Amino acid sequence: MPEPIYKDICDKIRFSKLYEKYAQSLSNILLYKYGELLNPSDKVQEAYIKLWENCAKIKPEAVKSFLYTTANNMMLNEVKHQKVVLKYQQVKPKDYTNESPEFILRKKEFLKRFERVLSQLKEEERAAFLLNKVDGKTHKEVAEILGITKKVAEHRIYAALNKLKNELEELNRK
Amino acid sequence: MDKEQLIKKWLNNNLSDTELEAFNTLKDADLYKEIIEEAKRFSGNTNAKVEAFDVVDKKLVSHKSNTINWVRVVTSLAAILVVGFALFTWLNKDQINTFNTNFAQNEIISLPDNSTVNLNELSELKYNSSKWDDNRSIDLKGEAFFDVEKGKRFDVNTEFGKISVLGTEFNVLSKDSIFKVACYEGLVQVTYNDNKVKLPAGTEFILLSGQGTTSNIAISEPYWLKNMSVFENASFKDVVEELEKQYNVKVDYPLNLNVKFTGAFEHNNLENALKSISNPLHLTYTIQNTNEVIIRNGKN
Repeated sequence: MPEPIYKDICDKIRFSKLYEKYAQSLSNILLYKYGELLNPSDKVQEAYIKLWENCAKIKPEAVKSFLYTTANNMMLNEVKHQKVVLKYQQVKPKDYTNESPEFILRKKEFLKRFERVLSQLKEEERAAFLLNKVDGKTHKEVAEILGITKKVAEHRIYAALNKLKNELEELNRK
Repeated sequence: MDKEQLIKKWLNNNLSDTELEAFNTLKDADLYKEIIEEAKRFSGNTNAKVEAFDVVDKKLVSHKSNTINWVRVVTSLAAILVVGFALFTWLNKDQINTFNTNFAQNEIISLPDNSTVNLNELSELKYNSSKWDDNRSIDLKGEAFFDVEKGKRFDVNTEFGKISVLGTEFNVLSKDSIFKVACYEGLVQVTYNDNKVKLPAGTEFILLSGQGTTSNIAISEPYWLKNMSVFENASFKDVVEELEKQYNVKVDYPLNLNVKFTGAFEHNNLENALKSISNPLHLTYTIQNTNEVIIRNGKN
């Protein structure tokens, strides 16, 4: 009869492995859903501390959903009517230094607008879109994380892209 | 394929070459690509970077001890029991005390409860001192005098029977085919061949060819304790054997001598001992050398 090798996760080495495995992606999910004002990485830490306190009660296969639910609930307790804020990084994915001043100006404007539109998107659309396009999760994985069907995930990603496009294309017309 | 389907397929990185061409002809194709490209700036990997595990580790309450792993507890207990039992039996094994006496040698042994045993020559006594408090039990071969302190049952096991004591002084002789118990003080119980006999003070029990008899004794201590050998209607052979043992000599005597001896001889003077035996029976003796004695009929 196959039995799980480990009965619980009350072991520092195993626990640290679980941290390496899920902490960052959990933090990303929280960021995409709720923005950075609510300190997603802090929530992740708190969720892990709770996990450790309950390590004997939580089966290894339930760890992921425990972490997600715990962190998500912490967020919801705080989120209330807070405005979602996402900031784009000053670190540039591409080197634009060779471009014309007009291009740089446009880019700056583009990113400002991107940031604003992204913040105004519906939470579920933003999360699905960023998880898929930034974290590289497949549609199936996105669906699992957000507890929706693959079809819905696909639609939300598309809807997010469409809204971003509609808001940003004005810039190109100028 | 409509535009929405195409874009969805593109979002899913699922376009064929011809479909990709179609997508690239869309007027917003570049904008779409730019959006996806620039979205990477919002990555949580930089914007919501989690701390290294070391940092989190310090905040974790050490609570391992709170969660009892029963399997581990039970197995450790079992291991302790096994080791403990092994140690216990091993230690016990080492605490069996044995005493032996040689020719003409007496030994006074003090038992753990201050009872004393006076062990006569050529005897062996064995007891387990580690279990003494629970079980006062002694194995005896030969002859010994017991002065038992008050307490629980005190058992003396011999080849022929068991003597149970209820706090007393008594003598046990269990040698060759002789089994004799004399009680000088208190009360003793003798168990032999499923029979039980209670011996009050001043009585003795003798087992002869399976037949047990109880009789009175007039003395207050066995004679050998006073360095005397006492005989009552004993065959001359028995007397000579006792003499040979006590003085470690060889005695030459007429084998056809068929007399009974009642009396005693002392243990520290061979000359006197020989007189004690010879005179009543009208025998003569000659001490040849330190380890040879000749006994003959009648006067020289």
